[in-house]
Amino acid sequence: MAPEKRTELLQGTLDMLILRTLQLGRAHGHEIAKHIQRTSDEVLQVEHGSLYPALHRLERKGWLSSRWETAKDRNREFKYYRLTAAGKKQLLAEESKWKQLAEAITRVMGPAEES
Amino acid sequence: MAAWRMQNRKQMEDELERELRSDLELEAEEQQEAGVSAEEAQYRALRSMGNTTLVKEEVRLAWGGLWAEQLWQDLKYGLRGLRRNKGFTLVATLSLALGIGGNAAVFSLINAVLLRQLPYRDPDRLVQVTAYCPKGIIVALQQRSRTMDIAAYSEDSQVNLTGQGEAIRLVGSRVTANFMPVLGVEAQLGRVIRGGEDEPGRDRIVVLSDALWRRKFGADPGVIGRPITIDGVDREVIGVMPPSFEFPSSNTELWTPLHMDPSNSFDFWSTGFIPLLARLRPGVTLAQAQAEVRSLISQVIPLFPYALPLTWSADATAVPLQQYLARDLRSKLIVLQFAVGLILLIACANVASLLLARAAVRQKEMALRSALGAARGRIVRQLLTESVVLGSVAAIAGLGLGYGVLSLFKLVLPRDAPGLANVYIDPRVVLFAALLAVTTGLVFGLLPAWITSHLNLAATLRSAGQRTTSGGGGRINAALIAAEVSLAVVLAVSAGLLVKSLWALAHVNPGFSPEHILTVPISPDHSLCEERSRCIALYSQLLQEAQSIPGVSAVTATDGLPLSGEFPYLPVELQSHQLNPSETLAPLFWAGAVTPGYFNLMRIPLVQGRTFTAADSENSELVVVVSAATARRFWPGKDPIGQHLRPPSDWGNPPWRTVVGVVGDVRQYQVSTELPDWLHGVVYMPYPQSLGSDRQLPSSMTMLVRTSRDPQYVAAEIRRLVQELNPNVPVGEMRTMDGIISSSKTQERSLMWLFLSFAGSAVLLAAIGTYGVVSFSTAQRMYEMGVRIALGANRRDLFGLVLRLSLRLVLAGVAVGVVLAVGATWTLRSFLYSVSTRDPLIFLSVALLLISVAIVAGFFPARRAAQVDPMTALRAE
Repeated sequence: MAPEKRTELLQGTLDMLILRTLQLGRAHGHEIAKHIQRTSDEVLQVEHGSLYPALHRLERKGWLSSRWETAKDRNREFKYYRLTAAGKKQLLAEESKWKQLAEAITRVMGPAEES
Repeated sequence: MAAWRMQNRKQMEDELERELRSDLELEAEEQQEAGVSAEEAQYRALRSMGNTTLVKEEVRLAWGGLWAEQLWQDLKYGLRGLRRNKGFTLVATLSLALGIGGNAAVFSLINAVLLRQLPYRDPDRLVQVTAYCPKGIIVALQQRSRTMDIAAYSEDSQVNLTGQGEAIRLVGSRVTANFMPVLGVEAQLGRVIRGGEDEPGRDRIVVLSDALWRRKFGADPGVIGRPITIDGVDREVIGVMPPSFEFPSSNTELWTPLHMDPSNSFDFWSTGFIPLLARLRPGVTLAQAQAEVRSLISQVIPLFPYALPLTWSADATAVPLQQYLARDLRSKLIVLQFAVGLILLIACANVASLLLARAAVRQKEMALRSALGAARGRIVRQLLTESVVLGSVAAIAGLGLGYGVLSLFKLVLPRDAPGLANVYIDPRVVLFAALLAVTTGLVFGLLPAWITSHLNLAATLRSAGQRTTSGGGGRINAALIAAEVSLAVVLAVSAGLLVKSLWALAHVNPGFSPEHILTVPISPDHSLCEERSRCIALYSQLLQEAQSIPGVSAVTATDGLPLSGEFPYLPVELQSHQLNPSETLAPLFWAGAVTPGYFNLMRIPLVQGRTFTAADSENSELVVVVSAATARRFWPGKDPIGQHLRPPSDWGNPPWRTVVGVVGDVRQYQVSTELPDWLHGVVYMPYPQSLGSDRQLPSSMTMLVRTSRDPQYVAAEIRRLVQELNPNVPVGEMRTMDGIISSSKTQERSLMWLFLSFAGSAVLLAAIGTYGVVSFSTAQRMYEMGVRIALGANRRDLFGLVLRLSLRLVLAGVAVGVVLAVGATWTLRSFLYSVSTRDPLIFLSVALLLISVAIVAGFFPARRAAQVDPMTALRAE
């Protein structure tokens, strides 16, 4: 772990990250958290206190579905989440919104770095 | 459905638990696989999970619909907390119930009198035209008005119902034929009086009230079409009104058409000035109607067959009927509302301070709960729910209490005010109480909840109990108590002023001595007196025979019993005071008919000249007696004896009457006032020579009997005598003169008692509040007290320290309260008799009262402080 690299998630981006993670296929909460951490080079730490409420909220909105299924590598059941059709649409929407935002922020931040 | 929900809920909880557990286990396994020891792995997994309870709470929030469940939890928790702290709950509930109950009761009065719609068709279109008019003018106004349909009604007057068992006296109103159609009311049985039925020949009909129909006719539907005799006139019953119809007052028992006979010029133009009401025609605004009233009045003045002053009805206008009907009640209701509002504020402050004190004790509980994962918002909400639960319990108790005190409150208002009979706790009142409960719950709960939830967690948990400070709570609490005391001062001053006022009223000399006097109303039909000699004979015989009842020392009769509401008056022309034409009408005098012996029996002193004797008969010289104030007013410095006066007539000149005596002044109208300002003098006439306001011999008289015997016995004897003389003459209810004086002060008295109980409750609440705060802060400072003693402080110093704290709280409140009271008591002005609203004695007594409350409230905590054992206090840490 590299604590100095940790950073807080931007408000509202966790939902997008979860949806994005589930685009690769089913995953349970632990896997989702680990995946986000790994792919962000441990920069993004997902707290359980944010992850699980987010999962339940997204499921309630109909963007995720869940089912208890046995893990491939362990002989135990986990609650696996999947992206629904509505979830896929939502992900696209959030991605494009995010891109716009990121570009905008980059444009603002860019020139100042030079001076 | 609900069961399924609960099932579903349970399942969701289980799954969440399982989901989190599986995550935890997986984390631990992975840690182990990475080579960490089993124990360390478990520990790391737990750390990474964080506060499980909080995670679950957050997830539940995401589920939504949670608030209902939390509310239920909070409710259960709140009720449990209330049950645990019985003393607190009792005091808090009682305080609030007092506040809410009083407010609910006053609100139900306001609801009935000012808010509830009048039970007529489109009541918003009804107006009162504030002019009193004779029949001729009523007809003229009806014909000319373009904006309104105008009707008229006489105020309640007494009539006789004979031929239905024993003759009885009833209260009736005479109305124009369009009166009921204008109000838009229908009969519950038969029909109402209709257009044209006030013409002579068609007007021998009567409509009964529901109450009279049940009481006298056994609710018999066959009453329609039956003839009954009212004041000697046979009338056919055409209808029975529904119980909700009470106009002009709730006493009205029957309605007869106004007798409209233009050929009887005197009757048509000169007597019976009666009130008008009207319905605005479609599309007409109130302002248009008001403008029309002004122009109509000036148009009709020339129609009078005699000269009328130009100022007649100059200020007449149209006002909404409901507003007009509530005109006398409004100021009282405002004062009552003001008082109960104060009580509620005090109760809120009291409960808030109790809650604050309790909050300080519960700091640890709250700190622990938030350490265990309760969110701050959740804690505030839970505390608020407790307050609202408390408020709701109090509201239920308060509604019960309100129902109980309602009848007490009603005593303050005139009994026959329309709508007052129908005061009850209706859904609107319940809603009002519920709103009060929630609002007060939030008001008194918010502050403690906020303070409690903003604790420094670690500091609170670490600190060891008794020394805990309540943060800003202490100072806020002191301010609450001071506020409470100041409001109590306002109420206590108000009560004090009313007590002093009633005391002053009780010591007014009414001008006569009421002891051992019985009064019995006798009321032959008016028609009997059209032949004067028959009525004169009836009364002279009755008085003579009553004189022989054993135990009766004197008997007399009058048509104007003081303070009884009987109030005969006449315009009086004085020979020495020629009226010039621009002047108003001849001054109105209180003008009573009395039989010989009246002044003697009433012990009204004779100042000059003589009183009446049996020789002042129908045919002898016309004589009068005037009151001393009248003599001073009209003949200052002159001898009143031998002066002349007469009731003027528009038809010829009646003979002058000679003043033969002057008697002491009597409070005829109210104990508190000499005479209303529209009356300019008092004149007495011997009965055989007397005139009522219709210029006829008064038929209804009240017999006065001075006796030391049992009143019931004497009353029964008189009833028997009257029955023997003429069975068609009703005998009214016997009352003692003392009773009449006392009931003339009923409204003042009940207002005083109400305020006394308000003030009592307020002072009690303030005392409880002060005691609570002082003893709580003393308990918190026991350690400090121990240190002081250990360092050599005198026990008396400690006693004084605590007592001073109590005094400081109360003195601050008294200071503010006195200022508030000076500002607030002006609302009582019109209810006070010979007491200034700034009466220094009252203010001083109230201040002293509250200071002694402070001493009593501070005494017990002070004694506890003085008796503290330093060793115990210090070791308690």
